[in-house]
Amino acid sequence: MTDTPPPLLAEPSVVAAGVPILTEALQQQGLAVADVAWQPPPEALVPALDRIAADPRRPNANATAVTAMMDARPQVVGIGVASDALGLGRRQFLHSGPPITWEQASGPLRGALVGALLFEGDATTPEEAEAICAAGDIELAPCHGRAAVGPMAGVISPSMPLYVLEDDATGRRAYSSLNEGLGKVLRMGAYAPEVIDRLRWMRTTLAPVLSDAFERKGPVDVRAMLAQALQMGDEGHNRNRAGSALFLRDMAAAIAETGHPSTDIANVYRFIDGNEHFVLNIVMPAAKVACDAARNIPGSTMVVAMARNGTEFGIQTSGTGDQWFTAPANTPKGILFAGFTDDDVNPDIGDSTIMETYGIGGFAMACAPAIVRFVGGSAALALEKTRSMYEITLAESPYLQIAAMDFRGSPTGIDATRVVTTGVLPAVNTGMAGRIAGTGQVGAGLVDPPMACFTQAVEALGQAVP
Amino acid sequence: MSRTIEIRPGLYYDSVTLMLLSQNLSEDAAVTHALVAMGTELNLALLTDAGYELPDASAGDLVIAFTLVDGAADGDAERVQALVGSLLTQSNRGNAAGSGGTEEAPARSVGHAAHTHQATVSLISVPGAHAFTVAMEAIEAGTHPVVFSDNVSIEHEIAMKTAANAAGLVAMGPDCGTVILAGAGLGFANAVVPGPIGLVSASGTGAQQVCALADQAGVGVRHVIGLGGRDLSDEVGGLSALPALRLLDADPDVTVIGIVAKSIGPATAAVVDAAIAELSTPTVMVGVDDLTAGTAALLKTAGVEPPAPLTWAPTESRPARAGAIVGLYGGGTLAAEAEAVLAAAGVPADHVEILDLGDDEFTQGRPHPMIDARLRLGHLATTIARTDVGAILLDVVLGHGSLADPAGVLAPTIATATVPVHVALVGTADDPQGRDAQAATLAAAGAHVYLSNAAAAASASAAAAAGATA
Repeated sequence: MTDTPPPLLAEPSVVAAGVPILTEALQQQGLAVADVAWQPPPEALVPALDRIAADPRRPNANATAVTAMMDARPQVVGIGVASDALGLGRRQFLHSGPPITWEQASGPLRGALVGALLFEGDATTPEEAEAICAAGDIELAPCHGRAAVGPMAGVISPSMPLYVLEDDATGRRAYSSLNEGLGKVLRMGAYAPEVIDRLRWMRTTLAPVLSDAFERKGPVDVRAMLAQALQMGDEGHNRNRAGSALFLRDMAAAIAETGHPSTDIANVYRFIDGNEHFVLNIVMPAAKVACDAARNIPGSTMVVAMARNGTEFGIQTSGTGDQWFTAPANTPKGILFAGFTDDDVNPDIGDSTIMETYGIGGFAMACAPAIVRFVGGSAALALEKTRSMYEITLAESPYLQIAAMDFRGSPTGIDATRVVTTGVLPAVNTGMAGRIAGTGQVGAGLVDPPMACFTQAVEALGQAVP
Repeated sequence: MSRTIEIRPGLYYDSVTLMLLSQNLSEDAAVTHALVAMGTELNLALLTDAGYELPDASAGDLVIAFTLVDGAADGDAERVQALVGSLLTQSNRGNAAGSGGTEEAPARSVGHAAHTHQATVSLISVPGAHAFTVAMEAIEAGTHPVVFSDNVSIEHEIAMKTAANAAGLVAMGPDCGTVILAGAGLGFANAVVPGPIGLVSASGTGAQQVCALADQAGVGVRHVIGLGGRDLSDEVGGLSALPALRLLDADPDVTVIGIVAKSIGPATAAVVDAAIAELSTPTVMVGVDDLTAGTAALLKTAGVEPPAPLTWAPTESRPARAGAIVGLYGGGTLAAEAEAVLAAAGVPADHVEILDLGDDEFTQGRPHPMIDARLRLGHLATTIARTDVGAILLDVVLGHGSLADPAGVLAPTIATATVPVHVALVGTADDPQGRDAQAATLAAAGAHVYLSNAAAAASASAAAAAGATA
């Protein structure tokens, strides 16, 4: 990882951590010294941190992991159906975040499952759907375990259309549902008739049009599109205006040439135009396929998934396989839609933190100063958030750059040990779902992942050192 | 007496800052006892002994405890608490978390800071339990680590040095007090005019003694590559000494190399001898049994006739008295050298009590006596009160990193002594404290002052012998 070692026997440029008197002694000599605001990690983690620090595999393992993630070339290759692509059978549903049961599920996830049963025709009323769920007559599994990701509740049901993403570098695939727009939507836990009707239209009209367009056009390079969007004011998680516009522009001709009725095509254009998060469900599986390329590298302490199920926040690291490290999810803080209060906000939910895992979203906040208005912050706060993420990341992306920071690469590849040793938590931008099933979106803002996820991961990584 | 104890969970300050803060607090007229410290086992035990009732606290929590004098005024407790708050804020320089300002927040990790500032060296003085992970981070960031911290295991020392060597770096320490690179001092280091001498040193104060004596001879020390005290043991096997020797040999400005070694393992001695034979630069072993003699040999190799080391006579001499020679040292190597010199002079071992107050047993959870004089002042006062003591030996080490005015701190107590006090004043003419002014302060307090620690010890033995025959 290091280049030529610096000369020792020359006037030094010093980094100092610890006793201030020693820093002052350097300053008195007029030497270049950078003082570190060092804080001790929890005492209980010292043995694990020592084992990890001494693990000779780690530097190369982390370099391999972060390079595999950055070098992935995710392409949209088409539209599939969950039953085929993911093998989902009747009453089998995927959800966001770490594993969870109906009993533990929060309002938005319960609402989304009710809506999914209605959408699939497994129930005709919400009450009937709830009874099916409460009786245990459904099977739940995390999206992440099936190479899929879903925003907010992230519920994927068997007949849902999916984007199929493929990594050009490895041939690996990842999937996500199609984005429904804002407000009352299934992913936020809403299941009113308008929600189900929209899902049906997406299945019968939107998906076939897009499918034919992808077939005509060929693969869409998502990393290249993200790179452009980041320079147009997006951060790829909570702000996707530029990306959605770029996608529509790129696809417009192919969509027009599909031969579908012009009213359908016009409705597809209108739908995409009316949903500034349309591209989120494409960039999320793109990030997922890239993160999956970094999985299962022994000795790597890099985070390969961060995801929330509305009850718990969970992370996975490259060196610990499919094990989840979970803790109760925090509640986001930000701007609420009119008519809602803080009490209406559900704890953090969704797989969309895959964007931060991939090195953008909250990590690329400097690209999207507009985002900080969610928390009443200044543009300087956006820069500061991004800067602080370099503390906990392994690399700077050569592909995804931040114009406001002289095109510095986005901070990429969270090192779980550095989160613990610096106390700096990953910056996450997110939407807010209503706490009560059926409410839908109530706002957007920022949220802190729980430190306990990272301390548990470090314990397990320490145990995994041979 | 009213005792106040308060816990601030998860608030960390380094021990030196807190010790100095506790001292400031103790000086308040309304306060009889104060301890502001992290909630380590040691500190909690101190608080229990001092009669405080302990709330739950762990090593990651800041504990603020103070006792007010009898008859303290109403509102004194609040005033003292506010004082603690403002003292903590003053010391908060590096802890300001970024909150939207345009100023870049200070780095939280050595790796990040090294990358941002293109650093070449990392100076690590975090608590010993954390030093290994920070040193490994420094190595991965491509910097040479100087690990000032002590209480680091030998396994971690070997792992750290092996990793550094693999990356083409030299790991200095743990427990490395002194490094000088092209005249720039890290840790405790004297102001030197860079000259032809390059040192590889297992002892910080040993290297400082060489710097001081060479400085008087007008010969500069260019580099001191500190090793930590265990590098030349057979367990570590000179993992840092060997690359350090090769680097010094390759520096055309270095014409003589000195190796300051406490003790060398037999296997390592053979390896070092073989390495020396390969060097093109003349290399001298400077034994810590007599650093002054070793430095003389080094100077002769550099072509300079060593002058007699400087001494400063007391303004008023005290009569010799029969009794033990008690040494209260901050520098471990200087303490060991004094013992060796006294033994060589034939002083019976039961007449010699040399304490190394910089040893791990004294520094667990408290700063080194070279940056906090209180521990030694306490021992000095106790020693002066004893009637069975014939002479007192002290070291005062000057240079960057040391106390601003160590002679001024010690002088009032030295002045109360009734037996001869011999002080080894280890410093160079350009040291920030002013070597000659420090010597004058000590001499005015009645101390015999020597630039050479060996000379100080020899004089103490002579004084004690004179007292015994008087």
